Amino acid sequence: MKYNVLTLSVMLLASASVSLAQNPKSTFTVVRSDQWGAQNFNPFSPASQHLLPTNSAIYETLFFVNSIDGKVTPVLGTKYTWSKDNKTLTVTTRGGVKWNDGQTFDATDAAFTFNYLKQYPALDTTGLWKSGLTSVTAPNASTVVFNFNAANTPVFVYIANTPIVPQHVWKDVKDPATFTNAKPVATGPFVFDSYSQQALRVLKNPNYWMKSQPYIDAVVWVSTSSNDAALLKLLSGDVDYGYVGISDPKGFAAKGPNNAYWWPTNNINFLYFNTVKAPFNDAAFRRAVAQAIDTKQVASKAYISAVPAANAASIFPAQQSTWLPASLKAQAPTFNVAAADKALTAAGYKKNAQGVRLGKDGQPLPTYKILVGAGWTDFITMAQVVGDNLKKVGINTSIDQQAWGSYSGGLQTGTYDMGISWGWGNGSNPYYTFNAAFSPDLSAPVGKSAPSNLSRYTNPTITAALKSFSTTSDPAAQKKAMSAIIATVLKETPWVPLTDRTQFSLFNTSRFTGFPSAQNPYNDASPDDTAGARLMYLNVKPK
Amino acid sequence: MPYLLRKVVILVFTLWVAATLNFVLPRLVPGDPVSVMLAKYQGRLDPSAVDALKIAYGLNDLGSPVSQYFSYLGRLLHGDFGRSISLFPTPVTDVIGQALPYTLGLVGITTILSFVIGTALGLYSGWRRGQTGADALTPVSLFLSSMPYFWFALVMLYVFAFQLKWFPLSGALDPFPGAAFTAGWWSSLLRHAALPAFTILVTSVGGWLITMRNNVVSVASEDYLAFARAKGLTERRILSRYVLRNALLPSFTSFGMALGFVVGGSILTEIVFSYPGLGFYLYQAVVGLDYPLMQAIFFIIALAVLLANFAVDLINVLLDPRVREGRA
Repeated sequence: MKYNVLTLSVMLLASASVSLAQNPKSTFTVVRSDQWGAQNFNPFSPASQHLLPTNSAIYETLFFVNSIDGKVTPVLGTKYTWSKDNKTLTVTTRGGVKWNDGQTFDATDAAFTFNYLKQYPALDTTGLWKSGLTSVTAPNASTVVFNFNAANTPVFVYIANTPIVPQHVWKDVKDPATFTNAKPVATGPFVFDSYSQQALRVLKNPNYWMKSQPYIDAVVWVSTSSNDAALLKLLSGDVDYGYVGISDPKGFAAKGPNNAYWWPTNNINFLYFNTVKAPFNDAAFRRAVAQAIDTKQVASKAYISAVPAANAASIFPAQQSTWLPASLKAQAPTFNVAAADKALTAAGYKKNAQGVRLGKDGQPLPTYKILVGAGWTDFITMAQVVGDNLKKVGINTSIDQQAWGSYSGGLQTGTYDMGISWGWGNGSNPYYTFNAAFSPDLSAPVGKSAPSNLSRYTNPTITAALKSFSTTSDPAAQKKAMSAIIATVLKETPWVPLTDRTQFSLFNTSRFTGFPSAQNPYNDASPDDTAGARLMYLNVKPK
Repeated sequence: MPYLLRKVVILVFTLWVAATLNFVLPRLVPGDPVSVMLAKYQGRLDPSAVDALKIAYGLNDLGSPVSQYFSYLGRLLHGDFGRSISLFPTPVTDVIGQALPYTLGLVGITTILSFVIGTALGLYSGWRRGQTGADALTPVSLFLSSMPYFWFALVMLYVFAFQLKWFPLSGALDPFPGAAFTAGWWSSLLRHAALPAFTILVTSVGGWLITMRNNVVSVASEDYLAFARAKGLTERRILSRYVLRNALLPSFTSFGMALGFVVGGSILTEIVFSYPGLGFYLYQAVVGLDYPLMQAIFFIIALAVLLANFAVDLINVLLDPRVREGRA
């Protein structure tokens, strides 16, 4: 009896998906400004190696942490709590969820996923098992327990963002790093339909655990080879969404009533000082240089006023109300050429008769190189403006353009003078920015590669505050630690925040409503292949 | 016979040099694939991914450069180009296999077409010197061949695909063209190839035209033509049997080379029209320091050019009696 019901439902399912395949009623189209590779749905591969729908439409994570304001949305996990000593994280998993092959999802699948990362370190791209995690267990079908040997609350974001895979499929996979997972078994709102070099399609999962969503029947990705080609497709109305870093989003929006964009700030472009080289090892010199740079001019020239100047305390706009007290806001350096000039002289760097700045030894300062990526017009423009600003206080600079490999190599091995780059860590609160930038664990001696502490700056106050932030989940204690970090960074100025760095979501709203926006920021405008995009695919409705 | 043997030996030797340079040059670029990948994600990939990625790509235990070189040569002889790093874990041969048909189709056919059209027009222009049509061809083709290709391609794309909507905006096929090699599939393929092919044709025809015209002009003053006319041969016979064949020979060698380079794809075309050919993958491989893919594509280009050259040498033996008898 049971067998017949099962066959019947399988047949109905098959016929439903066949009819959908032939004619999905409402298709949401996404354009991509690069070509994708082979048919790889392995959720553990780094982003560009698995296909775009893998982690955004097919697989799901435990939670979604909005990287702009830190809000946590439950997905496969419904609740999470830290123990009093912050060494144990308990997550409650959702009931009533099925894998798309019909089997039931429960906490053992979640525990299996995390232990799988331990078994195969090549998959652990967020370094979970190196951040103090000692064990992951599932004491019952709806609870997962994570045990740490040291408190480390910021690691929650990485746990929340891990895609959950079914134990009954992956326990038999021998080489997960090369496994292409052509028929993904997952819990997500869509299932794989078709793959070709020019288009990918996923269809609505008829057994999805959310009963009334998604409102659309299919999502299709089309590929192009450049930002311009993707932009043309958006302008002509062929597609509904594109994550395209164009230079003039305001112009795009002005071209038609259905063109919209949402570019929230989620990172900052910094001018890094290589603090192991004189005179950048002198905090007074760095502070004076920061005062000489007009960040408003930098931003307006580099991004045609589409992106604003960065906050001088390195805090993203959406996070300022929580983490930046007014007293610290007032301590940030302001643009003042005369004051910078005076400060440099007072610090021991006088100007000679020709207006050239001299070092402490009386010799003219050499021309410093500002390292940028070759052909990156925005960074080159920023370096030009910074160079002009610094010339006014007698410091000469030149622009050093390098291709990807030498650019990142130069920054990481500490052979640069000054360099322009994004924050090499960023997240839903400033801890991620400051930890990546100033943690002694992420630095390295000159000549060796520092993972993200590019300026090689460390300070005992910052190190202690980072530790106390990460070992607590009490908001008040975290705020105190963060204020200590911000105050020290403002005083020591190991970098100069130049401009905001945003996501690049562009929309064509002619066929659908329900897009995320500044008024409705339910996701963080993240790209179409990330876990944040899942919320967009769930919430867009045909007009 | 010694001529052919010499050519074969040179071919094999040049291939070996190409393979060695292929190995050495990419590794002279500073940086390594994993740090480039980290930089490219611009903060979205955690720095702790480096160790994991190095293990995944097999970059953590490589051995000395010399041993790497010999294992590279060994694998090359077996046709094993390894797995691409930027498109891991796809084998490199799969990546090339996906892109090569489009490149050969678009660039190969347009190269042949532009050679045929350019040579025919060049013959006409050189033979009928003095007539307005023939004389006008020279400045027109100079203008066409000195136009910046990407500018011309962008203008064509904007006018014909975006404004007039006569042709598609991007890609090689419609998103869902139906089963391969059906009528609908062919129509989709041709519609997408029309604009890229047109732009390549227009900008490359000029070069062949001028070369052929110069050859024709220099042949036209040869003594044997005067002799042929004195002997009473018709103009048409002189043109087709003597002028054309003699003028064509120098162009033929560069045509062979051009056919060899077809395999490298046309990066500008592929970026402007989003055509999924080898040029785009080569560009991505170079920027991303994807050694296996870079090496494979460079090697294939070198191989194709050398083979094309070799084929042209063989055909020269057939076509040119002077070479056959060793008096070239």
